[in-house]
Amino acid sequence: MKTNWGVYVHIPFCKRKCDYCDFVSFVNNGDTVTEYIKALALEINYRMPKTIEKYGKPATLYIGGGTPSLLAIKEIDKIFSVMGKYTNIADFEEITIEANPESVTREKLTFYKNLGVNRVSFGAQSFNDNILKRIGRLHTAKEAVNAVTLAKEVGFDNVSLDLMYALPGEALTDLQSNIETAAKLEPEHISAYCLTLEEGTPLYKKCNAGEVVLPTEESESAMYDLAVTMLPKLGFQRYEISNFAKQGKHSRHNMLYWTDATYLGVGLSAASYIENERFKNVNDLTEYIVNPIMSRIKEERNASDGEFEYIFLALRTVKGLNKNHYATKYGVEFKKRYKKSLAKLTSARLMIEDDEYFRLTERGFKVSNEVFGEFIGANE
Amino acid sequence: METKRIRNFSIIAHIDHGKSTIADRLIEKTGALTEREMEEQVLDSMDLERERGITIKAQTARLKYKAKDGEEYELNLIDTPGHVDFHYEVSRALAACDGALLVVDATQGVEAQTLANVYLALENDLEIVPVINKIDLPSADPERVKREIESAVGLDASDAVLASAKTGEGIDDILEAIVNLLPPPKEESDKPLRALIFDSYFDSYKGAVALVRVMEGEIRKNAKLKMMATGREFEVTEIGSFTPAPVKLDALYTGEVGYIAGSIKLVADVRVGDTVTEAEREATEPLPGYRGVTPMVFSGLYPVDAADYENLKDALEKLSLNDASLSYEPETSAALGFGFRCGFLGLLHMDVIEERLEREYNLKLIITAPSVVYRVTKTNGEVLNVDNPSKLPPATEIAMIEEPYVKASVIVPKDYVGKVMEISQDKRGAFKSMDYIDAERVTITYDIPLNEIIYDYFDRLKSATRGYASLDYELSGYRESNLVKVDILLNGEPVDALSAIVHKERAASRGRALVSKLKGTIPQQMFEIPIQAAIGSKIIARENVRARRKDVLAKCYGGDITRKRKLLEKQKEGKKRMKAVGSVEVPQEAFMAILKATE
Repeated sequence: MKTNWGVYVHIPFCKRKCDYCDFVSFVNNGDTVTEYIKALALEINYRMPKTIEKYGKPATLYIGGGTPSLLAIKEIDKIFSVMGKYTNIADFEEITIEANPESVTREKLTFYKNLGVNRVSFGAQSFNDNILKRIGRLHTAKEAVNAVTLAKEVGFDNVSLDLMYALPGEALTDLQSNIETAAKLEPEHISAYCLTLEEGTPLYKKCNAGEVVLPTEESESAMYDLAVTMLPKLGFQRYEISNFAKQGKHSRHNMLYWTDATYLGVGLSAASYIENERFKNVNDLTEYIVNPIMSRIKEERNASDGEFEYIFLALRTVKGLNKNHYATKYGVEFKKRYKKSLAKLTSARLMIEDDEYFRLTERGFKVSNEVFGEFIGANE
Repeated sequence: METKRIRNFSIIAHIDHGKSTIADRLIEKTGALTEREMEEQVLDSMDLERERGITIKAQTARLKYKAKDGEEYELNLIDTPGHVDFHYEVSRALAACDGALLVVDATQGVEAQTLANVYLALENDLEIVPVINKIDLPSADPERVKREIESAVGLDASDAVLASAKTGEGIDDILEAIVNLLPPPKEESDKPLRALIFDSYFDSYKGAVALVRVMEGEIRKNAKLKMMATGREFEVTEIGSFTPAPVKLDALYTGEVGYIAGSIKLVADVRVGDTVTEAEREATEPLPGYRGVTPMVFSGLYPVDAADYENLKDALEKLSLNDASLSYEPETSAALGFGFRCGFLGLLHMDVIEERLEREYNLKLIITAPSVVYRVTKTNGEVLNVDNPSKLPPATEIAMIEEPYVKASVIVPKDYVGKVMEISQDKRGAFKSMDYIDAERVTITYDIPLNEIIYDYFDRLKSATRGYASLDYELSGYRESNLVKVDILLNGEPVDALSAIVHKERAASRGRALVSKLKGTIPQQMFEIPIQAAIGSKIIARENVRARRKDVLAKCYGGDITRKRKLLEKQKEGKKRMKAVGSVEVPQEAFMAILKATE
């Protein structure tokens, strides 16, 4: 039986780390990158055959970071040639690479296209140069526009843009023009994320020191409303809390995360979900390079942790939680098991139920953390 | 020991004036404990007491002292609870004494609470020797304090002992003063036994143990005794005294202090103030002053987690074994589920019990705002005691409501008299008297509803007088008042546990204050929550807790789901101390909001 599963490859290098980022990524130097690609190849060689043996050929490949587009052509080539030993690259339904506007060139994009990459995801974040500067991005709005145009020219018909909102000094009108600019570039997919201020990041320190000012809770809330109403009007249908796509252009790889599907993560700090178990690779770059095969750690989770993950991941999607799928997996009706929580949430109009699904309403999405919280330790 | 060489005394002092440290030094000096046994402040044994610097249960110590006259004396130190909640217990402990040391801080002077206890001591005909403590401090002014003792207390302070418990200075003088200035007990050994119970505690091997002072007659092992108020008879299985460690004895003679045990199961059967006599040769009359325990304030105690109900019940049972003044009975609240209505002597007593339940029994509790006991006369003539506002009958059935009043004495520097009067009037107080203690300080006495004392009276006094005010109060009786019940509705549903009984004229402002306080206490939730205050069906105040506007976790970093789950769990964890009332999560503090709501 063919399982719908995917592979994630992490490239933990950036030219400069953005001020808001607390993800595992390092400012690169040539030698380390070479060492890392070697280690990565080793891990792929070790894990891919085993996983394919179990689940058949993977459907999606996602090269994320960090900044994968920072890698030299020969390094990307290396990853693909190793991967190609175990599965025909052309057999992937979707191959995504993340790219930053300042690091892509026509040459690189053409190369990706020829390798078989069929989806490019650009970290545009904003089309306001002042704001881009304030969050420590290296590109300008113009570079982002150029990069997307270039990708289209090279022949990509599946381009995604990441937008962030509630950025320092951002006004509602800034977001509106950002979305308009983004839509004009005619990408197939837009992810719209609200800035999360993570402790310990340079932005966190700047905020505490008063050097930058974040929008108030009210305007953050208004920006959320603006994004989720404007994007569908521009033809991008919401299919997950933060993700919007033209008809049929949702990210197949990201959908795996939300639908309890299997995925193998390779590379530093990459996460995997296999046979109901979650694994995570180490965060220490040297440790990974020295022994990429031994770097994976199984996460301590109990049955109810797993069930809660299943629920909140499913409920992040617009479709919602499939009642049959849940009942088959857990041997009990979702509605019975969470009777009280569901009664409360549906009467508050934060969730609704139809024949096949339980899902969040518009209001439910907006306070989704609260809604999810109702399912913690609530099984009856 | 010959009666004439016994001295029974206690120490009267304001909190922090050094009662416990002086007791420590006396015990140390007389060698009652070896140095290794000598803990700091040995008489305050519970952790909680030590942390708060107050004594809740009284304890005793029998000290052997060889005086300068060459004779050996038996000094019985009877410790007294140090808080206004325990007025009656203090009075019984003092009744067990023949004399007292009045300890006053050389840098502070006489405080209201000290004064109240001095009056209690004088009522019990105790001889009092002033001790001026902390004379080692640079700001000590013993001469001023002496004058104050003379003018405020009316005692001759010329014999006052100057001491420092910290340095040990004057401790010998205190011991000599006890021997020379305090009287011995009366010699009454021929009479039938009359022993005063001044404290009790529960021991898991001995059962309920009574601390007694033998006034007349004597107690021997295996004697058949009777407690006169309860009528309960028992056989003495063990007799002893405290050093403070318990030491078994064969008998307690006239004038002596010690403990008796007799396989009595409940501390409630050993009532403070009761008289112990012989079953076969009963005394004709009990000792004066006995009073049943009357809790003054009542609160509902509910487990946050309903599954903890049985644990809470067990814990209350265990605590009440040792604390006869704690009463509890099952209660059900529509909002909070199953819990207990508990009676306390006062707010401090309530705090202590709550803390012990949470700390020693690991319970998470919701405690409702304390209520006094209202006496309600219904139109059909029936009289009810209402200790829970939600139990107040409908207004149409009420002919009259009476509420308990207290006589409150406040001591302040004279510059703050106006402030104190302003606050007291505002608290519906009726002015009684004002007396100058000396050129600087004044005692102001008011009759005030106990209900108002429970609210923020003392806090307001403290802040208006920069901390100088000290307060003492005792119940003075019931008076008719124009009272109404204010109900609180959350999300349109009345929450019984938040109801309050308030004076009609204050109802509107209290309602507004309460609603606004609740608004600040109840966190934003998934939907808007209207908070309303109502009298009957009439809404008198309303506020809204706006719905949480937005709460979305943005990105799944490369499928790292565990991280996301942990974030959600952490957020949820923050809500653990909240109680779901209908569909609203209400934090613990909200139930106390009425105490903190300032109009």
